[in-house]
Amino acid sequence: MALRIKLFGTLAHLAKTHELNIKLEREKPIGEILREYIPNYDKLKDVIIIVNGLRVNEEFLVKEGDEIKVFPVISGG
Amino acid sequence: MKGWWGRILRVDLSKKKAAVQEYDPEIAYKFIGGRGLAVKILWDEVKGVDPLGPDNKLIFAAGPYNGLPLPSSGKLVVAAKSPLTGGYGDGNLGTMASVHLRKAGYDALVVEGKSDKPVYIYVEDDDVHILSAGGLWGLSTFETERLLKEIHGKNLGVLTIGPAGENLVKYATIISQEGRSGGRPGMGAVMGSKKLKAVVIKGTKEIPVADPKELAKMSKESYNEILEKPGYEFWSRQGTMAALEWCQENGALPTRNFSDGYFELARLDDGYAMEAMKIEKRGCPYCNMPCGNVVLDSEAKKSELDYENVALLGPNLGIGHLGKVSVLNRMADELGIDTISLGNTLGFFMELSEKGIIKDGVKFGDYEGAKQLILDIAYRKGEYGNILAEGVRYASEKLGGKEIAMHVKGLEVSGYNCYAYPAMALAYGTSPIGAHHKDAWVIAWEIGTAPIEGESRQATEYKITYDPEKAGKVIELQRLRGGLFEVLTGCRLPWVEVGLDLQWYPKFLKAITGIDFTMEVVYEVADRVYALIRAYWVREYNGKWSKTMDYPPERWFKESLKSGPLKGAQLDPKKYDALLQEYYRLRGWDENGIPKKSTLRKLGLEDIIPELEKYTKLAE
Repeated sequence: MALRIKLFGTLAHLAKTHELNIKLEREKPIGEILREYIPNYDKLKDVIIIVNGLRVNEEFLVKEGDEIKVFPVISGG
Repeated sequence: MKGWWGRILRVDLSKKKAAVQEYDPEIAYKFIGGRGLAVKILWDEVKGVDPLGPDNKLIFAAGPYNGLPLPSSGKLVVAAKSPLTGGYGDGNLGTMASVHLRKAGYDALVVEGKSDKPVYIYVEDDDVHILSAGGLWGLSTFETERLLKEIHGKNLGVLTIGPAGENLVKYATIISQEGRSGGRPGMGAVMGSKKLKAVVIKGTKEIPVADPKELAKMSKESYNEILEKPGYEFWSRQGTMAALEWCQENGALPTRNFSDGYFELARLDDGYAMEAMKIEKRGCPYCNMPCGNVVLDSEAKKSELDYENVALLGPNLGIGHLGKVSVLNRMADELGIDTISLGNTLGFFMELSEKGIIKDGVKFGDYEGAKQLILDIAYRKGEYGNILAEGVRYASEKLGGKEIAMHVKGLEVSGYNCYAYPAMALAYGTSPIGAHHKDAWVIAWEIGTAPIEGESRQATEYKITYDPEKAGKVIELQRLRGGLFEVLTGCRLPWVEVGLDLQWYPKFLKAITGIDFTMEVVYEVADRVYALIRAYWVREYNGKWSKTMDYPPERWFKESLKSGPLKGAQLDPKKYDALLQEYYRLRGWDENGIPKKSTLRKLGLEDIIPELEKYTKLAE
């Protein structure tokens, strides 16, 4: 299955892309996917994952056609 | 004492005299410095005065952290009774003046009285001179600093006001190094009212610290820790400008006088637009993660950008063109005006023009009109310059439009639109100087990690909730952002933006002062400072105080987001009020937001009770 994940801010910088286009054999939790593609993911303080407008946690299984956006947690300056 | 000098330089411009005051070490232990020292001085010495009269005092307050080679320590608090709000006012700017003030042997500089002619203060260690500023009055802040450095040399600190401060614009600020700006609630106007054009400081002394070896070791380690943080690289690219895209995606952008949370041209103002135009970086003294991103603006001049400047002068004015927004920003810096209050006031005027309440006004997107208005405001000219120079609260009383005037306590709201974010609205409502985001920023927490009672599903819709936990979170952040970092004083961004370990700071304090400052002690200092600032407001308002002073702008209750995924979002006044009551309960303040006697005693502020009771009944 094909996944499109939009990345923002420092996440896009670390992954070196604003959009991940991934092909998966089977469903995977979104956290596992992000860990694979974003270097230093675990050292970052939290991310905000929005799937089809809903906030999800890292165990959420994403599927083809989902609108996935991942934001860093910024702190407002 | 180690760490503190225990010395305040007092300059009286009426008497043309300077003296050094040695202050009680108890004050250092109880208030630490910066904002804490400033409010203590204001409480004791600045009572019931006209903020633009000779009896107001302009306080430049440093703390034990300043003047030393520690992460982002080059910051300075500037405080006074505010001519904009009538209450406690302060700001904080990065400046070599912070380093030099401390190296000159002072923890603070207090300017009192008023000169009859334009002057500037020149300090070189123990030598203090009041010199004529006749040739500088009327010049921009950039030109003033340039000339002063030509006269006195480059290795010193300079603080100046521009024409806006000279003309007593109520949100005029104090500027240093062509773009560092502080004192949103009119500290620049207070300086102008004293006919004080600039302060120039050169310090050569060594600051006595308790454990210099340990401090040097910690300095090296903490600076290195910053460089190794995963967020460091992207921070270096965009600094605070990364917030623009983030807010656009989450409906928190101030667009067209906060009438919506999305801006269709956001891409033309955001961090990526900035990167395409960036030519230089600038930072504060002792900072290894500089946030000053400098671009060439549409007039081919250098303009230093931050999120707040751009959000309030770009999307808030309906201008989607970073080159033009950068011109407006640079004008504000040269004239010495707060970009937030300026952008907010211009946006308000533009909306009145759109609605036809102002005939032949300046509408959203009108860049040339905005430029002219900025000059009108700085020089109090034109049909509306004089009114708009008073700020949005006054302007709405004079022109109409109170329901769209975006301020709290008279200070204009900064770059976060809160239709969908009650905790952030609470942060604005309870910020010590009026609407400002410095003290608490909670939007990402509200969206991403705020616990929602009863929710344990993997996928949840974002709901606007008023869980009491939100009040606790705001206080937790105020203790750090508005407390710790404002008394040290140091920049909060190493912790806030890249995650520098907070535990460094009590360790730094111990190595500097020799005193065991735990985080608990720091929190107590912060709570004490917040309570005293609140008491100051109540006194200066003659006891005419109510919880409505802590309400956010009514627009967030009466209107709603017009577009995007959170379309229709708005705040609920009854629920906000309940959240505010929880905030008061946690702080030990009464139902009107006035500190209780038991709280004041607990915080070691019992001595202010008799005074405060003259103005208002205090709960037990």
